[in-house]
Amino acid sequence: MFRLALSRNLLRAVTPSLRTTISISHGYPASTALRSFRSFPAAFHGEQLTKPKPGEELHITFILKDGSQRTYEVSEGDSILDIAQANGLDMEGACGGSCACSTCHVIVDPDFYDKIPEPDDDENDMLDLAFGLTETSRLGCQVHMTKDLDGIRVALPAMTRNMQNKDFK
Amino acid sequence: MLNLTKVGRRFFSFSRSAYSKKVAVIGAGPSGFYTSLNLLKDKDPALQIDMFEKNPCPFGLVRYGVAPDHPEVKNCQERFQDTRNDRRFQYFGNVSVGSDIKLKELYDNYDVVVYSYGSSLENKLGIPGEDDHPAIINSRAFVGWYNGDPDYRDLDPPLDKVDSVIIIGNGNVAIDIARILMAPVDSHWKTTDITEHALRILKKSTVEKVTIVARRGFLESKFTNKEFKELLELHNEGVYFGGWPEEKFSSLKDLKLGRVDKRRLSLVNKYKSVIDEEAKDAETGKVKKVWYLDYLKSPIGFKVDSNDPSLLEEVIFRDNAITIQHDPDTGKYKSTITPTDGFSSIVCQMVIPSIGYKCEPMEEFEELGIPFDTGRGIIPNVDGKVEGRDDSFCVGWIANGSRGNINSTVMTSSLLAGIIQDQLKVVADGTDKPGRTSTESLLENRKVRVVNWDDWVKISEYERSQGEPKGKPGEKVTDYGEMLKICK
Repeated sequence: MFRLALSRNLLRAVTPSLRTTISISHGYPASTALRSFRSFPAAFHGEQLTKPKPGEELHITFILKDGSQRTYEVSEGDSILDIAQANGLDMEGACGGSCACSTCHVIVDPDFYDKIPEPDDDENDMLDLAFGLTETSRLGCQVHMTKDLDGIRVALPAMTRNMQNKDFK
Repeated sequence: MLNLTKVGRRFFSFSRSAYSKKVAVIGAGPSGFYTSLNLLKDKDPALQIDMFEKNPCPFGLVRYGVAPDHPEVKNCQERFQDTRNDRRFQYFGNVSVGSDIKLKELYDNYDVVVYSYGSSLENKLGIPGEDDHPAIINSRAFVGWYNGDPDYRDLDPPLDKVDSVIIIGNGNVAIDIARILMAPVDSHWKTTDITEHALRILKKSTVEKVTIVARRGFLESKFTNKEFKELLELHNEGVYFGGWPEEKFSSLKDLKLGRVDKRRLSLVNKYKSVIDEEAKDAETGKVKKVWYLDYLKSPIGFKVDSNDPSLLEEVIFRDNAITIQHDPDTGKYKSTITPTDGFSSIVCQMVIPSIGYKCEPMEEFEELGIPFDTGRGIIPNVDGKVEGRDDSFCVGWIANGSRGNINSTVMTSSLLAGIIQDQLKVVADGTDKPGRTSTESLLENRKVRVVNWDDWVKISEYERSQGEPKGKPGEKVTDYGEMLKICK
């Protein structure tokens, strides 16, 4: 399995524009608002998050597959998977956040990677099955927000075409 | 820089969105569902997705493939339920494409057909006896049996007459089967959704030894480390790893292995010592349940037990030699396997070949000009777009062969949905296909008993209620006729 050293460049490349990101939205109560939109629920599969207490908001920025960015104010303890799903981002979380698949794979900003407790064997074994694995890959369901991670940036791995049989062998 | 062609095409596609975008999906397994869910992210009200499933119940291998002790893997079913909130999607269960409705009729009714019907055949060893001996049971039947597939509920494997089983092939299915054969019923299986008929036979099981044999080497092991570790961890339930032929692979420790291989090697080394300390029964000195990994053996024959012809006596293997070379292009190690003149045998009473599955073409493929690669058992395709067709796509095992897991399914389905969306914009040539209305009246005229999503919810709730008193998440209904009665 390969661990590409892509993440550093990928994240650095988008850093300048990050400084000017203004759009801050909340990881709540997006789900209720969106569920009433009839054609949307199928594409939406979210967790309810608790609103952070005033003064205790932590920030996380997602770099989406198209390169755009979203920043959210979240509470300590929220997992990256829950945050992504509560905000309708394209993160599958097929196993429901139980570390049994790698569909919530994220690439973490190298500046923050070392602040996250190390992945355990189970997470590593699932990461080994993720597409586009990098040196700073983690599973979104296993990373929970702490004060140390305030301001963290994570990228959703872009998928590539021409991914054929050989990739599954 | 402004790209005028792109802008033009974009505008064009917007102006087209009033036309029909009607999609027929054949097969209600995870790849069909994930493709549908991804398509539904496009909010265009003109989109219509009708999913056809020959069984009354949906979810394919999530229901009939995933092991009962992996409920977390089945969590994706919750996600599939999301489709019911979207009226643009409809489930047509108990509808067989080819007989209840012709494939040609789907092409007449829909802009695009997505094949996600998976595999229906097993790969063969090509050894006499494998199809008709009661103690040679293909993994497809065995897995179907413990997971409640109606086709295999009467399999009755002779586990009460067997103490040694060989599993041929070492993918995750082989590991699942080893767990089924060895893990204790009461502590491990009783509260899963494993079928009652399987529990009954497993309770009587006398299996004490399982050997997982592969023709290639350790680095070519097909199981994932996650599943492997799970099996190794069964020592906590009295099931021990008996070892592997490490003398054949002594060179591995000198290689610069990648992370996954290194971890696999460290796992075998770590757990093989577990048996020395704990495994032996204090009174008898005997290890009760042990499993082994074996490599570099190609099965060439089964020897039937002369006392009880319903059982086997041993499996004969041709031994293979291995040379491991470093490939500078890929940076990986490449093993070459060559048959030797040596033979060996392993004593066993039962064999479970678990060497992958194959897909079959549908009857009308030839007539309608849908290509099929019989050798590989797949529909030839590029990223899921069927070769030579603009209106046909495939995903899952029918597209890639029987490999991959939920991750690759999520990935390929998402990619494919993008390709289909692009294609729908081009395909819409002004003709509005009749879609669902026509399908519904066709099926009604033919008096096909369609199982819709509400019907399925009834079946699924019934299963849950049947499982509850036993502490199981569900007790699967193992008869399609009974399913139809429940949702009447």
